Amino acid sequence: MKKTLLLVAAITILVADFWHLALAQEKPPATKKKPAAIEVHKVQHSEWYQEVAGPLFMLVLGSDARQAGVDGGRGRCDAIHLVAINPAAKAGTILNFPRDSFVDVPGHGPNRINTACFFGGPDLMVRTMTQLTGIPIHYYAITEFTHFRALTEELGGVEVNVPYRMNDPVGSGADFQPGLQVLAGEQALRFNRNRHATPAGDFSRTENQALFMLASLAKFQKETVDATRILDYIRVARRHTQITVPLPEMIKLASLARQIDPASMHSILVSGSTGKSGDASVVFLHPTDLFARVRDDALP
Amino acid sequence: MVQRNHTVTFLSRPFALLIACLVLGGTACDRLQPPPAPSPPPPPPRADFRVVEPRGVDPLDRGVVPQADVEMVTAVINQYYNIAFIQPDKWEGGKHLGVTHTFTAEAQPQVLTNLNTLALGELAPGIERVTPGRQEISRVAFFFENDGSVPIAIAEVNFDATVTVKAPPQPAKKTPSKSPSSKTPAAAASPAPSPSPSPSPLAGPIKIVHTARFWLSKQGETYKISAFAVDLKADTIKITTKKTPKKKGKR
Repeated sequence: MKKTLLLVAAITILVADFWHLALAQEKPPATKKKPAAIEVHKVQHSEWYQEVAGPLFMLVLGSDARQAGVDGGRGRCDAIHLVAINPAAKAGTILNFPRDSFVDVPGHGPNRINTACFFGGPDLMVRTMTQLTGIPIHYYAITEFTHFRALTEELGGVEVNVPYRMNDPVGSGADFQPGLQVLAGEQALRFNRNRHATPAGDFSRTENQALFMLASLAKFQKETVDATRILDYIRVARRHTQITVPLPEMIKLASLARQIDPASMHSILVSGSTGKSGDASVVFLHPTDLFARVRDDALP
Repeated sequence: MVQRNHTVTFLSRPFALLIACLVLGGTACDRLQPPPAPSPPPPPPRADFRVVEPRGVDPLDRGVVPQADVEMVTAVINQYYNIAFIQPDKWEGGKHLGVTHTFTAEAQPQVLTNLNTLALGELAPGIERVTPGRQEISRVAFFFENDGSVPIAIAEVNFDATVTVKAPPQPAKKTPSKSPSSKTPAAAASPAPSPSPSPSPLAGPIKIVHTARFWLSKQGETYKISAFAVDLKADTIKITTKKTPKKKGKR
C-alpha cells in the first residue's frame, strides 16, 4: 500500500510540474498586425548669432601702392567703397566713389578724394569720407596690389560674371570675354584696375570693383556651409589687408554675411559730372539726398 | 497464498523509493534553488564625443593644433549633450536649465526659447531613456591670434540616439461584483473607474538626429557656446494593430 501511494504521489507531482511549465510558456493569441507606420517628424531648425548693432558702415579701400604692405603705404586709394549694412533687414548698400571725386580733405583743402590716403593713410580717408557724407564709419579695410593678388590666390579665385568684353593691353592688361570666369591673382587685379576698356572709364571701374566684392560674398556663402571655413576667410583677411574690425566683431559680421543675399545689396555709383580743377581732371559729386538716406538705415 | 501484483513486483520498494525521490527531489530542487543573481545594471549612458578633424587656423601659419583647447571644447560639448539629451536626471521635465551654463551670457536667453531644437524639450517628459549612437565633433577649427592665443573656435557636431518612450499609464482595473444588487457600502463609495487614457501617439523606439554648428568663445579655462545653428530630427513609429476577423466555417 505504501509503495502504491508513493508511486501515485510521484506521478502526480510529475504531471503537475509538466502542466505548470506548459502554462507558463503559453503564447498570447496570435493576431495579424499591420506593418508599423513610420512618421518622420519635420526637421526642426533654429539658429542664433550674436547681433551686429546696425546700421554698420565700413570703408573698403584699394591702394595703388605696389609693395607697400597691407596698410597700403602712402599710395593713392583708387578703389573707394562705403559698405553700409542693415543687419535687421539683412540688406545694405555699396556706395562706389570715383577716385577723382573733388572733396575737402581735412587739413589739406579741396582735392581729389584719392589723395587722402597719400596725405594721411586710411585714417585720413575715413575722416574725409565722414565729413563728406555725414555717415559715421565704424571700420575700414585696405590692401594694395601685391596683397590683393595673394588674397585672391589664397581664396582660390572668385567667379565673376564679366559684363562685357575687356581688352586693355596698355593700361591694366585686362583681356576678358564677357561671361562667368574665375579670376585670381593677376587676372583679378587686372579686372579691378581696368578703366580704359569700359563704357564709362573710372565710373565703370568702380562699379566693376563692387561687382567683384559681391561675387566674393557669394563665394564666401557657398564655401562656409562648413562653418569652420569662416575662420579661413578671417585668416586671409588678417593676412592680406589692414582691417580694423576686432576678431569678435569679425565673427559676428561673418555670420551675418552668410545670411545676406548678394542681390539685396544695392550697388550705387555716386554720380557726378566731370570737370577741371586747375589742370586736374576731377568729378564734382551730385549725391542729392543719397547720403542722408543711407545714413538712416544703410539702404538707399 | 497471496499472488503478488506484477506492477508492485516490478516497482519493488527500493526502486519505487528511488523514483519517488528522484521526482520529488528534482521538483523540490527546482523550488529550492535560489533565483539567479540579478546581473548588475548597465552603467548610465553619458556623452563621449570624439573629435575627428581638429585644426588650427593661423594667419602666421605656425602649424599648431591646440590640443588643450580640443579637450576643452570636447568637455563642453559632452556637458551640453548630457544635459540636453542623454541623462534623464538632468532634463528637469524638459526645462534643461543646466544647459544654459554651457552658453555665453549673451546667448543664454536664446536657450530657453529654443529648447525644442537645442534639447529634448517638450519630448523629455515622455521619454524613459536615451541610448546614444553617433557622437562626433566632425570638424573643429581654432583661430590663432598673432600672439598665439586662441580665443575662438567653430565646431560641427553630429549626434544621434535611440529613444525609449515611457509606457502609457495602465487603466484602473474594475473589481467584478458578485450580484448586480449586492453593492457593499465600500464599493458604492469607491469612484467609478476612469476611462482608459488615449494611447500615446508615440510608441516603440524613436531615432533622433541632432546636427549642430557651434560658435565657441574661450572664457578662462573653458569654452562657452556663443552662437548656434542646429537641426533636430525625430523619427516616430506609430504602431497600428488590427485583428483579422475569424473566418466563418462553411455550413
